[in-house]
Amino acid sequence: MSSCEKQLDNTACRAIIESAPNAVFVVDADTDRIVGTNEAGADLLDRSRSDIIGLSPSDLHPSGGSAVPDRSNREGRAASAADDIGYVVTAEGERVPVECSTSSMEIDGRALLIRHVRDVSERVERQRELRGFKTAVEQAGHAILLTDVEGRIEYVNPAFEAFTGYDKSEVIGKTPSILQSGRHDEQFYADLWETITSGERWEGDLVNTRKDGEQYHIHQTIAPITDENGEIERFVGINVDISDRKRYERQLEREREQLDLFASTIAHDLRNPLGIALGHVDIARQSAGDESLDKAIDALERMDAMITEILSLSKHGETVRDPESIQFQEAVERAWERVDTADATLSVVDSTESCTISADPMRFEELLTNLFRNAIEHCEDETAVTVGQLPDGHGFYVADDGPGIDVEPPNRVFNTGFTTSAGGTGFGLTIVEQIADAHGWAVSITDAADGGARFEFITDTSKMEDDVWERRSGGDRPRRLNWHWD
Amino acid sequence: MSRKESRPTSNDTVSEEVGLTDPDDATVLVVDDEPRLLGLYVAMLEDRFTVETAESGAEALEALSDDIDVVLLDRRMPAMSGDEVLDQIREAEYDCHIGIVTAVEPDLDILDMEFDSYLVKPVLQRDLRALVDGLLARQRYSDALNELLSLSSRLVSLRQKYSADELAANETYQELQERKADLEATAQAELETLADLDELAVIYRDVVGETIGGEDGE
Repeated sequence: MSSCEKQLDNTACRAIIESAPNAVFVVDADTDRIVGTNEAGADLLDRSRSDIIGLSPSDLHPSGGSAVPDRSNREGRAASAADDIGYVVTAEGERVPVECSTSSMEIDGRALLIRHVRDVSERVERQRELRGFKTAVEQAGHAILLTDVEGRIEYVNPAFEAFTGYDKSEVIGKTPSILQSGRHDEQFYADLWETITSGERWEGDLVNTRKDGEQYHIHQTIAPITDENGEIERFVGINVDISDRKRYERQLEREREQLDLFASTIAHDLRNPLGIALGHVDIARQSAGDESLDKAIDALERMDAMITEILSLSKHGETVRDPESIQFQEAVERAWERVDTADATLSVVDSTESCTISADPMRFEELLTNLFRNAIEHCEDETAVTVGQLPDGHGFYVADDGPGIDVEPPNRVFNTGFTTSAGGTGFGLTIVEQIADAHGWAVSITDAADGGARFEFITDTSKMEDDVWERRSGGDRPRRLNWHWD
Repeated sequence: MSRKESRPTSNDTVSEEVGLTDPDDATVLVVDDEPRLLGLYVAMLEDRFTVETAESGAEALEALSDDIDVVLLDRRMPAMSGDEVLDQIREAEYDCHIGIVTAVEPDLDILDMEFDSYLVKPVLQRDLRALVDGLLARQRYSDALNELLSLSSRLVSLRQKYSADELAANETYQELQERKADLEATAQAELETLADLDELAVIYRDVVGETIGGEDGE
């Protein structure tokens, strides 16, 4: 210690300044000129030391203003770490945010100011980023809250206040359980808590209660926030108000139920008078032998077929029972037997012999019979229907050699009630589309090689790459269907 | 609404021996809550059979007697459903054959229903006549064969609607399958004797075959 107490000489002072990690500028207090700096100072300003010596401190920020702040007392020994951020300008004219503190000392009778200048670009950048995130959170339309590891609320954004009706001050320090509606059991919250404390994100729909007691539906995401060691330090929760969506869903559900009821009522109410008309026409046909009555019988039977199909559409249109693995070829042949195929012929491409398909057997059969009927209705004479697998096993196709589909756009054939055939009900292909959709299959229409219609079903949509389409159909990707009913 | 019409008879020895109704002397009771449908059925059948009608389940039970050979029964009726009427007729052990004629597609609930035949509306004259003919023909068969035909009719309709796997999971269906096998064994000799009778061939083929919509509408 005794050696340290000795007065340091100039060389020693210079060495100390030189070794300082920050830029140091020594200013003669009387002349306001820089009389010394260090390597870090030259680096900061991107100038040579000789350029810097002799400048006034104000030259370091030529644009003026509040450039280098300094709260230090000229007489004081050292400034406290200055929070004020200023900037200096480099030789290139680049503004570098800095923080500055100043100490003063007297050496050989000269009053000197030692200015320590620290580059705080990174901190400023980080603060800018934080400001951005903070604003994003504050302005977000979703309710956002932060809690500590115990689940106590540390922060809520204005949207949270608006959604819940609670003021920030009322919820800080409380847990989100104040919002519980009682609509979920303890297990629900236990699962949620277990998920997030194990470091996983939890996502789900739940019902909460506002301050005024009103319940509302939210979609909530809760994620743990971890520190640099991976330890959970907080949780962030983001709540999207889905009350409107839920209301809409309920309304749709109700409308759907009404539609179902409507369809089945109509169907059953129509059936009786239709049956009576059909029966009497039939009796008249038998007794009078008037062949023109056959047309009336045909028409009435077609109406009955339409009623059956309306019922089929409204009842179980969108559902498939658990799909099972079924023998493709057997299913195709069984479906063919169900259809009044007259002179039509079926050929199943050999390669499908051992193929299986994952589908609801009954609905798959319904899909096939509708396609077969469609092919037969639209073709005159002996229709040849071909069924086979798509290349690479992505799915299957049903093609015929009839007139093809001369409809623009082709997927209009799937619309309810659309028919070009005298005997058609216009529901068959809608049913086809619906069944395909219920299985998650994509269906498209192309022209068959011999000019007929070809319906393709992609059962493995994950493998549906553009290049597959290109290879197969010579570059023209078949139209994807719109899945909406118009 | 009861009508009687006598028809020229062509008694064959079989029916005389066992005291069965000649098809042309047969009485059919039609039950439906829609009077116009009753009118239609009468019009379709009256030239060959005596047709009585009932507009409700209660009326049907009242009209029942041992003179009724065939009941054609609607399922969906107010107050008392056709299903209930069916149960009561069976419970009372009337010796008649029952054909369901309904707009309701057969579903799993028919497994327990002891009808002889099931026809879905709308019906044409030939379907209805074939149904009655088929039911009358069954008067000649043993109880075992009748039960076999009734069972087969139910099992086959369900095979149209459900997959083999789904049916395999249904206990009642499985029990009935086993029962059917037993009955087939019991009725074996009878089946062989009657094998050359056209009507049996027609009925039996339609019932046990994989297709619905045969002559008697099963």
